[in-house]
Amino acid sequence: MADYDVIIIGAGCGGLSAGGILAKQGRKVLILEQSSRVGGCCSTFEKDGFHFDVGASIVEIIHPIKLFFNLCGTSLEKELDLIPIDPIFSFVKSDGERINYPLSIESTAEVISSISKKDGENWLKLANYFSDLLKLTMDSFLTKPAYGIIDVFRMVKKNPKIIKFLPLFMKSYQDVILNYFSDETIIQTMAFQSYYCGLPPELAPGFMAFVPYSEHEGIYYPRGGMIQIPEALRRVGERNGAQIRFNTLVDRVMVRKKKAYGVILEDGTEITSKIVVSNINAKKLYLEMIGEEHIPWLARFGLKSYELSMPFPVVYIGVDYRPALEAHHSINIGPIELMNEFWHETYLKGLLPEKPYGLVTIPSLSDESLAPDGHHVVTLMGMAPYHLQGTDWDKEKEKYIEQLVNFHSEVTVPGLKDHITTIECATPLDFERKLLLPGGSIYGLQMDISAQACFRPSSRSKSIEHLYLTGSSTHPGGGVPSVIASGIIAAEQIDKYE
Amino acid sequence: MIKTVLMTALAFSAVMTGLTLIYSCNIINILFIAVSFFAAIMAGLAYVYSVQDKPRKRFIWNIARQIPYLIGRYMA
Repeated sequence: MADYDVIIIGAGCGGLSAGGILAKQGRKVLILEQSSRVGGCCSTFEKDGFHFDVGASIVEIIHPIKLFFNLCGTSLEKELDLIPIDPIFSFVKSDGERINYPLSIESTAEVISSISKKDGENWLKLANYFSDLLKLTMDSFLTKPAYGIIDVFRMVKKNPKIIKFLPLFMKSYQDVILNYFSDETIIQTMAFQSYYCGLPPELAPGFMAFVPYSEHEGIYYPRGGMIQIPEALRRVGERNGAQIRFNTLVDRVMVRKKKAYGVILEDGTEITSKIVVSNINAKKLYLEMIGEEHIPWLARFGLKSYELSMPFPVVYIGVDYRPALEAHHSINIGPIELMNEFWHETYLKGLLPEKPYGLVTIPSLSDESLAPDGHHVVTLMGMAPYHLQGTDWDKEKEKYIEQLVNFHSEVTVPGLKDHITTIECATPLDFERKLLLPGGSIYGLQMDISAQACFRPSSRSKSIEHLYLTGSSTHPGGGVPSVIASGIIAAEQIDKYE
Repeated sequence: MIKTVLMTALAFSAVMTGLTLIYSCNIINILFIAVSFFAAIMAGLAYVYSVQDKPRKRFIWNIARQIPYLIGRYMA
């Protein structure tokens, strides 16, 4: 007799969404979390009166979140207070000029038209094109399993119109953007989002070019910080009967005759269950926590071949002034060639960038409660490799913080370095140590075309019975809504097969 | 031209694989598959080399270099 029906390893958004739905199905669910709070990368911590988001800084494409709450018999409106973000982005050019993109597609077209009339018209065409794609994928690709090629055919059969988007699979992100836009500045504002999937514009798959559009369908910030999303999932799960244990590290998944039957904790305690759900990186799960001896050689070969996605070091700063930025998100833009060059000449060579371009987030512009009166929260997210040539992150941390702060103080957030009241940094090594993310990769596995859908580790394990996967390293991929969707998919699969 | 050769070789190898799996796994058919896949890979490489645009070339190469892993990834 098993101790639980389901054990879930990790209280990230994927584990919590699966747990909530499985508990609603009447199963006895235990969620084991190694840290003292929920959410993993989608979390918030407090320091000196400031509330900092660990990684994720907004949420867009909220359909899976709505779906989760509906499946649990409640609604998003009842459980979460989402603040709409507008303008969605402030782009800072190297000469200091700023361009703001409002939420409205039409108003954004006006902004673009003021720079290039033709690109303004093409923006509307791009929005129209990707709006169709998003509608079609919302109830198919995003929230349905991709166990095998049959599932992919089913998605196409359900939405035959999706065939018209097949050319996107043959093109790069850069091809798509250059197909629509010709003005250098506009291209720059549309190109950097390829790094959302951890790849430069020339290598990211063409269909990812929906991102610059999807932000205009609405981006939101949960009042109280990003942790409010996993907290809401947790509340709903606990209401349905799920139990959560914090500060409990799972060491191994117990497997006998290719069947998972529980977990062994760090202290040696064994907890048995009928089903095990993993919310950790699939590579780590299979190769370290289950063991290569339980995995068929071909699957092992495939698992080892996955590349981890790019890590993003983050500097969290509390300041005693209001930075002169209007948007929740601001970013330095540069030529598309530089974005590609960064990948080949800096990232792949294990170097730290000379000019640490990146994302600047000031969430306290959207939610004042995150900082004391007259103060603001500034988060600087950079791009850098995990393995540094001839050195490591522990040695480079202080230098990197200084470099990032100085760069943004001069270019993006004037006055920043003179107004710091508290500062903290999470390097890729810190992400690995604290959140147990291999390589500090917050998006799990690289999201290029050969690691998508049925070529990404399956939600229902193909090697081990009664084992299910959620999180950014399984289908449909990284990002808060996708990870929540992965939990929904796992719960749906368990309902069908267990 | 190279694109046509590539597509033909790929289509041929796919048909041969299908027929082999459905009817018989004899040595002749397996040899056919091996030859046609080899032809497809050669045509693919020739295609990559024929592309002049550097970003496009890198995109194609990034996908091509991961093709050998696809069966393993599908099994994961």
